[in-house]
Amino acid sequence: MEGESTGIEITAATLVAGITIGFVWQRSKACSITGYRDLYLFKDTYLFKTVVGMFLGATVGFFALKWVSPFMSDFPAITSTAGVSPFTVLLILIGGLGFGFFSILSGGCPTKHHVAAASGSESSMLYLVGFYAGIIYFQVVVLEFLLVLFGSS
Amino acid sequence: MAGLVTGGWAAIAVALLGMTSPEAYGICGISHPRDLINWIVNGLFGTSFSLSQYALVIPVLTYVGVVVGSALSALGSGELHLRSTGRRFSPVVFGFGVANFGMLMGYCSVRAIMLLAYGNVLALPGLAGIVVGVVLACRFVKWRVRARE
Repeated sequence: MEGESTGIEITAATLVAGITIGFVWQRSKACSITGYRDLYLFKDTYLFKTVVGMFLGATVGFFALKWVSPFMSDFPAITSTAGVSPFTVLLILIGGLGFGFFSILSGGCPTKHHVAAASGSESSMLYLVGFYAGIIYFQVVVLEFLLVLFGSS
Repeated sequence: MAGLVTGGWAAIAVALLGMTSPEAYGICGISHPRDLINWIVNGLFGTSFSLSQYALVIPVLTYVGVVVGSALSALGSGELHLRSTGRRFSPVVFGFGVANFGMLMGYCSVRAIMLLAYGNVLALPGLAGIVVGVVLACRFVKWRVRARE
């Protein structure tokens, strides 16, 4: 697309954004998972404010920048997912369930563990070892298994 | 503040950098680390693990940035020091589980919110699954604590 950013621009922008996000997440002890836990167990809304803030920031940003952006012709994307099979929806649901379950047992979302590992948490460093190994394992074993099992190419 | 910054960045990445395919790709705790590790593994071992179009030449460095930013913040606030909990095996297993289920879902809990804000209805089953998973995990932990008493 005309005006689309190049690889180096994307890489530089994601690095700067990541540094900013890492900085503010470390300062605020933010997490995108434990907010649900605290809301459910203790009716505590402090960490859930991260989730609300993300939604507000993104929604306001999308609506505000839609008018100047050449890339957002499909926004809001409510109709773009028409025709998705119920099986895909089921896999997403199962994925979400396991993601939420293991995230609570581990103490937070992947972003929080990156933040915690960088500030010296040994358990988050070990979490990231399993996390990155899991990403490779999924592609080598689980994905291949699913493709064989359901015959999709 | 952290939420607003994260959401704001997601909007900038889509609107100004064109990170729209896949949708709302500005930040994701599953896909960006996947792009990074796949790019490294492909380069080292000649494999052909999938990459997003933004990571074909140079990887997206969001989570390298998160680590750097967090370390700088921790250094500035005097919180940068090794903290050991004594648990060595379970964090690895939990990380492994999160990665596999996250890859199955196709996004993380952060990007689920971004997708929802973008109007993508496929965020809903993921968020519903996450909420149910959180509730089940809370009940499991409570049950385990009671069983030990």
